[in-house]
Amino acid sequence: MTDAFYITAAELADRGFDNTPDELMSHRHMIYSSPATLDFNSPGAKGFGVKRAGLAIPGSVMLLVAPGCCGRNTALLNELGYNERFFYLLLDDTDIVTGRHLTKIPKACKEVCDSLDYTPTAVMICITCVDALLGTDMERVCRKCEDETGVPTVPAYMYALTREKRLPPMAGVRKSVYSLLEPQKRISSECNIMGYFSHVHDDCELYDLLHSAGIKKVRELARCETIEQYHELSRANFNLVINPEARYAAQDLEKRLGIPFIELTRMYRIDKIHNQYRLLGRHWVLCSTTASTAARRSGQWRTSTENSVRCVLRWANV
Amino acid sequence: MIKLAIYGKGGIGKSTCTANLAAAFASLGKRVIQIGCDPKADSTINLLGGTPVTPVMDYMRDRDEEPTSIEEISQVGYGGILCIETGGPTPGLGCAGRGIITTFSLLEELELFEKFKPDVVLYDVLGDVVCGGFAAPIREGYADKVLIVTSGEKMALYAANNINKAVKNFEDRSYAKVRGIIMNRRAVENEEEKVRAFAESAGLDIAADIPRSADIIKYEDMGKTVIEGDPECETAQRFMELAKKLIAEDEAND
Ligand SMILES: Nc1ncnc2c1ncn2[C@@H]1O[C@H](COP(=O)(O)OP(=O)(O)OP(=O)(O)O)[C@@H](O)[C@H]1O
Ligand code: SF4
Ligand SMILES: [Mg+2]
Repeated sequence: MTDAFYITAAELADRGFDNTPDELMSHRHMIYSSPATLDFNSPGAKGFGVKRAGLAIPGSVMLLVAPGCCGRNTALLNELGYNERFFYLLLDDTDIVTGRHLTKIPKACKEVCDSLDYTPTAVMICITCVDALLGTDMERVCRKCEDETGVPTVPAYMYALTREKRLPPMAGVRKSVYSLLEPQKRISSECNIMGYFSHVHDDCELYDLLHSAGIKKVRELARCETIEQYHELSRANFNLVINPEARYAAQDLEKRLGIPFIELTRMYRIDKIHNQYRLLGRHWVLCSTTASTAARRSGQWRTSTENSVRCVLRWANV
Repeated sequence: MIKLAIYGKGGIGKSTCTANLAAAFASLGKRVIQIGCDPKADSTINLLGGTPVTPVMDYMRDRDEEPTSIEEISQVGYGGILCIETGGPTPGLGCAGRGIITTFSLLEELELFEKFKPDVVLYDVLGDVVCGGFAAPIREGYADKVLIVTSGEKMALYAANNINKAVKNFEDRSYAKVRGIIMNRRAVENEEEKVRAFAESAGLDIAADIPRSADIIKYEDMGKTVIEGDPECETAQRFMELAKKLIAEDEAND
């Protein structure tokens, strides 16, 4: 079965359950799902939203500034072991209309820091949709918090209304979590992978390819366990962006710290993936032996991936 | 770069002063951007021969998508001045302050400053600093100086005082400071004394003294500033003096 198939809900209902078309019977054959569905991550799956992502800096805490009804959905994250790192400043109508909440934020920050028996590495102030209309200069509020606590303070915006805009919240929060990085001497054999809030699979071929191309140290935010490791991210010679949502953050790092970036597109066809690695290899200004090692390795990866796919197809009896 | 925001009571002559000042800078060879931050979107009309530019908010509302280039939301007017209007919501609906913020972040994404490389940017802002949106032009990265337009009328001075206090309220290292007052005369009795008394009590300088002028109205009817219409007239000369003064200050700062 290779032809595309579709049916409207009305047609399906008219046919009745017993006449469900064969194409929709999942146990009779494999159902192809487009790359779009592979990319989709349902919020119900407890993936990384702005709030969880905002805690990517090791040792940081978050102050969520929101009306109670809006802030409470974050409570779900507590199940994932974040309850020690979330703090809430709840707003009411008067706060918002008068802007009073803005003077409360530095006080709340101070209270949070005082209540902890350690000094957090950073405080993320996450403000939700309600503030979007008010035009608050959160950078300024954060400076006031820093004056109050001495702890670096960074804004993150959970503005659900900008989801379909050029700079959606998930792109903005990536910039926030990298924003504490400072310039330092860059090392030519080190790079970062930017894109996700969990690290790339340990057995991902990307590590192997990078190493064979002469990269000695590959860093990822999600692998940083201490703030010292976090700060090492700015030693990178370049950033490899594997998710377009990290592009804005990578651009910011290029502008602020002079770290250039290369973006890889997520693809699902083996020959395209292979081609992309080849193109990437060409971009590296490396001695020919390491570049050709990388090229050979990418060829090997291709063969082994093709073999796995063939196995899956055989197993699925297609 | 000279970055100025012009505030003042409604109808006091902010747009007139901004457009004339922009034209004066342009006639001195500067690359100028004027951004009208007012739902009426009439700030730049006299730089454009009376034909208004499509405001950014109108563009977004009508097409339901963001513009992808600066050209789509700007017009080049007198002296090469790049004219932009934020516009605003349908009167009585929506949020005008949010409109300003949305426009500013859009202009930033379109890399307006990097691409146009202006010497001077002028923000003509509606009335008072009423909410966060109307304070956006004095934030870091936008205007670094504020000019307050006032006449000797009581309510204009009252508004000027409020604006001065509002800007002071934000005073810290990265926000704009009040540079001074543009006295835009309304032929009120003892006008100069009244404005001077206010300026002194607020510790502000009177940066320019603009006469009540029939020329302004005459050229406005033709969609022009006096700088374009009659550069030799007294009023035009006052704007030229102000522009030169601000350029000299900026150069001294560098
Ligand atoms: N010095 C002046 N002499 C004569 N007429 C003037 C002078 N200044 C302003 N005007 C006139 O006053 C009217 C209002 O001016 P303008 O639109 O510049 O005010 P505004 O402060 O921008 O108003 P708004 O708050 O509505 O934006 C205009 O018709 C303008 O021609
Ligand atoms: S959409 Fe915005 S206001 Fe609503 S719950 Fe989410 S963050 Fe809060
Ligand atoms: Mg006006």
